[in-house]
Amino acid sequence: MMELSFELLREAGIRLPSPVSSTIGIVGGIIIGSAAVEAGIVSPVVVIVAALTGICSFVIPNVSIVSGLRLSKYLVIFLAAAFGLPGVWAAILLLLAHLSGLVSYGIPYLYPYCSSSVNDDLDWEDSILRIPLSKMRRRPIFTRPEARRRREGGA
Amino acid sequence: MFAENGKISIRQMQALLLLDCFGTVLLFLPAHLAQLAGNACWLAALFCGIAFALLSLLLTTALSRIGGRFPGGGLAEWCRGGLGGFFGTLFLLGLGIKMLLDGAAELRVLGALLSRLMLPATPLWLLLLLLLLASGALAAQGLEGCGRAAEILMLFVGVPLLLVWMAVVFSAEYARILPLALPSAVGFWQSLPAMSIVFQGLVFLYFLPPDLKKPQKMRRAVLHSVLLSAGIAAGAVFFSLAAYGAEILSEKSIPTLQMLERVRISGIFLARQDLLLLWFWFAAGAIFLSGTIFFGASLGMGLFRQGERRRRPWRIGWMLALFAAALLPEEILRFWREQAAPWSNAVYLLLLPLLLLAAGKGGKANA
Repeated sequence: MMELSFELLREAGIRLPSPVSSTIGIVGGIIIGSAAVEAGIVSPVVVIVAALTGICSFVIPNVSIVSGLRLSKYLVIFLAAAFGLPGVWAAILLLLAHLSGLVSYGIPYLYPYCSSSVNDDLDWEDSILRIPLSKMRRRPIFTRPEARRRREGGA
Repeated sequence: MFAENGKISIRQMQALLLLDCFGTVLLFLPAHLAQLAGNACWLAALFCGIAFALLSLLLTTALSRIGGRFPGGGLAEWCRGGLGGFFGTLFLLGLGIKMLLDGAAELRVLGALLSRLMLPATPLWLLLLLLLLASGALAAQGLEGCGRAAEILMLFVGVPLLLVWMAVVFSAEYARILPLALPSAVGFWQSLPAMSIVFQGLVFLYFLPPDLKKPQKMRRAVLHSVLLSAGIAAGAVFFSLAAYGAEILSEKSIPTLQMLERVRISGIFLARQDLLLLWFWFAAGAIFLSGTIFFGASLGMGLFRQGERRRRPWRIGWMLALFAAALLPEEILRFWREQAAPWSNAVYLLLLPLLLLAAGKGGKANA
């Protein structure tokens, strides 16, 4: 319910002029949130979690990924509400299964966390942790496979 | 570069194989082996694991030999071509029944564990459906999708488990292992059936050679994976023994998880990290079941000489069959797992490879 309210506020904020959208954020986030807690409809923790989830969704720079996650989080919420921790596990597996099956322009969506052996695991250097650019001497496998070595200056 | 033909890499095959070998049986194995072999249970597990590594070598050799005689074929062609139409079909049907009951037993045990430890009020059939849903979704992505998922799961599930096991390493009392003794011949022979359940996923290798990018590397990679699985199974038994001693260990119900209760990490926010680690078996169970569904569909298509477009109905059929079989009375599934499954493993990990090896040899001699 809180997630749906948050989505409603977000959609309203996008469609309204910026001075009004900030008012909507304040009214929705603070007034409705605190009223809902005081009325006993939701617990304070739920408001915190919903707010944190909403803020975290803005951290991801890729809009397409965020849109996908916005939809799939309802599946996770439903399974978690119905089955608890095993439901979360099942949801993670369902998401992993879906993402594992995706291929974009011939490259697995989860590369280099899977299939990295095709490039002798070299592409791990630019994944969760990135080594210094000066040390990255080879291009990722999906860019210019005919010229793997980078030019001087990292281009 | 990346194959989009459903073929998997050697590393993905190893990840799948390792997760297949980490079924729920590993949770009960230390207690069972402690009853059978006493203080020497960990050595019994190790020796049995080495025996199964040799069997995997036999299996992969047989597959490469028969594959050389019938290039481009699958298990159905190999069995029918090598053993004749009647016996080939008989072995294929038997394999189907074995995979179905192995999968159903795994599904039931995992569902019952979740029900007992975490969700006692939830109906069992609902938990079975949840597990089948996750497994079916994995199987629907094909072998390549499953391979990618297994690679990731190995990383994000196996590493935390190893960290916790390392914590157990430091809290165990190794005096309980003593006196060091080799397992008796009887203890070893009695441990073999129990250990065979760990390696029941090896039957999936029958279906893999046509779907591997580099099948010539399969033999060594499978041997490495089975040896690693054997080492980890023996390690689980060893640390359980060091944590409890043979006498108490033989009375524990799920010692592999229970020994994690002993680990107290400062600042941890979870009182029952052992339950959180059940996630590893949830993931491994889902991978095993997805393999059962996927390769079960391959088996059905091979039996009835159908094309790839019939895979989806077969997949759904296998999911329904697994659900129905998992709801069989507990005694039947227990009888299968404890009494019949070891014999079926002997047939499909020893007898059939020997027959295929002979058939492959015969073909070469004729050629």
